Amino acid sequence: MDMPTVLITGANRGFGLLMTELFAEDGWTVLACCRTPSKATELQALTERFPGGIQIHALDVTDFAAVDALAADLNGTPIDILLNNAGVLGKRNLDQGALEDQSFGNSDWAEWEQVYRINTMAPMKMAEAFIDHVAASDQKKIVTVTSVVGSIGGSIFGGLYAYRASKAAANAVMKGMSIELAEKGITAFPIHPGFAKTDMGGGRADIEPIEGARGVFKVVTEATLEHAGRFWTYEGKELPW
Amino acid sequence: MPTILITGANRGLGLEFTKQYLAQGWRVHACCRQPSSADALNALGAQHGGLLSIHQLDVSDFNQIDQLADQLRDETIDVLLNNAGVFGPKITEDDNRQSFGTIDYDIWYDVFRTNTMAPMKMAEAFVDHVASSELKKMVAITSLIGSIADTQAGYYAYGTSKAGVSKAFATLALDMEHRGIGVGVFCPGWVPTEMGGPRGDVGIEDSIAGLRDRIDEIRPGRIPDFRRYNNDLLSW
Repeated sequence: MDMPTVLITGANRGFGLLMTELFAEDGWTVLACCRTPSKATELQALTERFPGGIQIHALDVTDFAAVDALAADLNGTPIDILLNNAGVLGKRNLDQGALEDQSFGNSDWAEWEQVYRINTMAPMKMAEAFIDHVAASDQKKIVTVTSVVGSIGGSIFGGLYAYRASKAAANAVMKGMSIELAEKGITAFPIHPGFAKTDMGGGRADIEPIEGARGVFKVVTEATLEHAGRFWTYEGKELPW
Repeated sequence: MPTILITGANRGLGLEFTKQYLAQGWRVHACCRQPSSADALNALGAQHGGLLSIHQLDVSDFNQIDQLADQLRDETIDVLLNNAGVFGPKITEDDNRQSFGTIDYDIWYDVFRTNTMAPMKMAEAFVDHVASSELKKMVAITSLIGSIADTQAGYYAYGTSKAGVSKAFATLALDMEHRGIGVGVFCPGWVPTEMGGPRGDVGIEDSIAGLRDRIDEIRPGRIPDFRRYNNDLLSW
């Protein structure tokens, strides 16, 4: 039997790179997408460790024509898990000034738009473009990495408005599609990967990225239709919307 | 008497809010895109004389928001009521621009800008007007369709924009506590308006009377519950 296939966006660094490694180690075929493959040295090194297991594709998820083009290139390739991982905190990451940038009174509307296009619209566009690939696979899953800070009922801190709103809206995207895609046997849900010490999370973060990645790998590979339309953590716990 | 600023005041819910607050003797800053063609609103002005000020404002034009805030810089605003919103194209046999597989992303962005970013921009532009008032409240009118827990598939642009503004205003409640400003997020029910269509589950007068009670109940210092006009508790 063929090994399953996963498509991962933002696979060149941080969480996406770790997920690529975990899936490849488990014998999956990984379609690893990133904006500039020529600069993705760590991802290239991984392809040498797993010959034939990882295919790198150039993809900027905000370029929707490019998303359609990649879907056409991969026509006929079943994709068991579509993992929308690519995302941004904002113009700057947490340790570089995001809290100041996105504090009340300082909203930069161009930043809001950019964050929304990457974090909210792109997962929808990816799902639209790759729906037939997923539907033709065995496992049929669409998972988007969002964040606990997008939980509305779980709001405990101010600030980071653009990022928080984009992730709440991304959760709404996943909940909405989970309902109509369940009819095709597709399991769709958002997942919180933990607050990890990646470029995005920085030194304030509370877990090692590999811990979050191992948790997400377990949750998404073991998920069934019963998981659809619910908001999961890397520990397999359910979060409030 | 208190002062309220209402966006999208020329028709539907915004017009009814304007009517009812005027009837209570409030001073109302009623904003709409084209005052010259807002006949019902202008008629209210003739009736209530000095209580109603009508302002030209397209909430998706953030320079206009800054200009209006500057123009009103010496005024206190007790309640900032973000009512203006757009629904995007209705889903019909011939129109599926908000449906999975055929999403129109330009429309989605426009809906997001008006429904999510604009209320946030209004809050930033008018925070001092509200902080210097007596009642100190900011409100976003959203919708059950923006409930993630209770969403149905479809209407992605509208639903996600409302989930986004709910999150922004829950966050706003936490940031505004130290200024004594309370934040509310409410669903008006399904009201037969131009947006809601001919059917509905509540009349416009009852919806707005209920929402005025909900606005009365807003207190600073906590994230808001998501409530319908009649006080039903909704899920995020």
